[in-house]
Amino acid sequence: MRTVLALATKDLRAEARGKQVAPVMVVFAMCLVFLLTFALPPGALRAPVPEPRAGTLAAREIAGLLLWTSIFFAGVIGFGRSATVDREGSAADGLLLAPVDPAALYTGKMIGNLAFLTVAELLAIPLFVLFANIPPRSLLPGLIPVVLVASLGLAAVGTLFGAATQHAEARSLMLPLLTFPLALPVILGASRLTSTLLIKGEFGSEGRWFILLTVFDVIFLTLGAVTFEFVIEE
Amino acid sequence: MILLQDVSRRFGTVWALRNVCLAVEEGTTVGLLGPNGSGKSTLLRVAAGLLRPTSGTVAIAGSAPRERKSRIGYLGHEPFLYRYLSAAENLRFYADLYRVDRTLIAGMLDRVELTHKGTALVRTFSRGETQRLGLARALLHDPDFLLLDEPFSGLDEAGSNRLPELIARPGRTVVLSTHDRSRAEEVAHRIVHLTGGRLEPAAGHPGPSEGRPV
Repeated sequence: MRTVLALATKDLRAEARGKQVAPVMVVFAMCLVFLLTFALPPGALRAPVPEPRAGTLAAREIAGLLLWTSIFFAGVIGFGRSATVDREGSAADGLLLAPVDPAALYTGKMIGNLAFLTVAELLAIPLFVLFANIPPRSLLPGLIPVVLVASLGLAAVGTLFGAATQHAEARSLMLPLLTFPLALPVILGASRLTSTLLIKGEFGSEGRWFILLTVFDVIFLTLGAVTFEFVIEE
Repeated sequence: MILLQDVSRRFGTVWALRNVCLAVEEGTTVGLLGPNGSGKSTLLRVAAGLLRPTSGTVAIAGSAPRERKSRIGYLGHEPFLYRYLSAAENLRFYADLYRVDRTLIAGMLDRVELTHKGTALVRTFSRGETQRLGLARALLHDPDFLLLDEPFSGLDEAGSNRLPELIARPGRTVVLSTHDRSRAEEVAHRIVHLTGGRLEPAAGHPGPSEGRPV
């Protein structure tokens, strides 16, 4: 636990000084949310749920996808930058040399990335609610568990592949290419849950997506913990 | 003892090390000399467990380097430091990873004459200061086996003169690479020469015993 805390604290402290990860994620997420919500018909998401007006259903169906695609791409940028911090000065080699359980290395790094992603979400989601004219009380309480479980999945995949692509020549290209197909279940699940909230005001039978998201989290957290040592090795 | 037996390492089509055999007795210091690209850094990285050999075996105190991590100190070309953390924060981080008492950090900063820079961010350090802090990181957990790749690099005359005293400790086994033969002779009990990835004893120094590694 001391190791996990040391790693997560190190990343957060370095970020507080260097501001190399979170601001990039936040600005990118906000720009995407801004652009995508303006692609929706004006007022399409404004009608009170659970009884949407005619013609707003399609907008609500895709609104979740717009939000989570924005969060995913903001996350990918941040995960790449976060891994670069360990590459500079070959600090990742310092981690490899230390007598530390690779699972702890992965967990510490993942917690740091999760914190950066959360900061981006804390700004992007209210902005989404604002620009899309969604009544906050109809969406935000239900969205909290979706954000928790989906963010964990994105951070789990992003941390693993952020580290894996650090030795690649075209790492900034490789990271989204590798991460996007793998993160699709998270993006789809979180999008479905968010859209369902917007349409019905509750999850109903779509709540089963939580099972998929949880299973995804468990699989990738385990995979990351087991393979991280080999992944960061040159 | 540090023991490399028939170690080879290939990067793509290039062999960086070829059938290297090296035995470093406990408590001794070996100087590794060789021109650029001769494989010195690769040898030290393989010995530290940062690179896996393509063939052959490495043993530190009878086990693979990865099983002896807490007893190995390594300083490479890069310092393994975080630029946006201060000197003391970097050492605190590594103290936590190696489960070393944090109260030792002040003393270590003093040993490398960086007490006055304890709260300064590493990104503001000069090359020599970064090297000294990297050395402090490598020594923080008081390793029994020390692997130093060009440790004199970036150090001024005074810093270079203090280095032998910093790394010396009874029972500590050291392998250090350098271009500076006089520095190597000053520190090392034995000098070996690496050329084109092959190891040979340097002229005028103890050579290999019959049938044993260099």
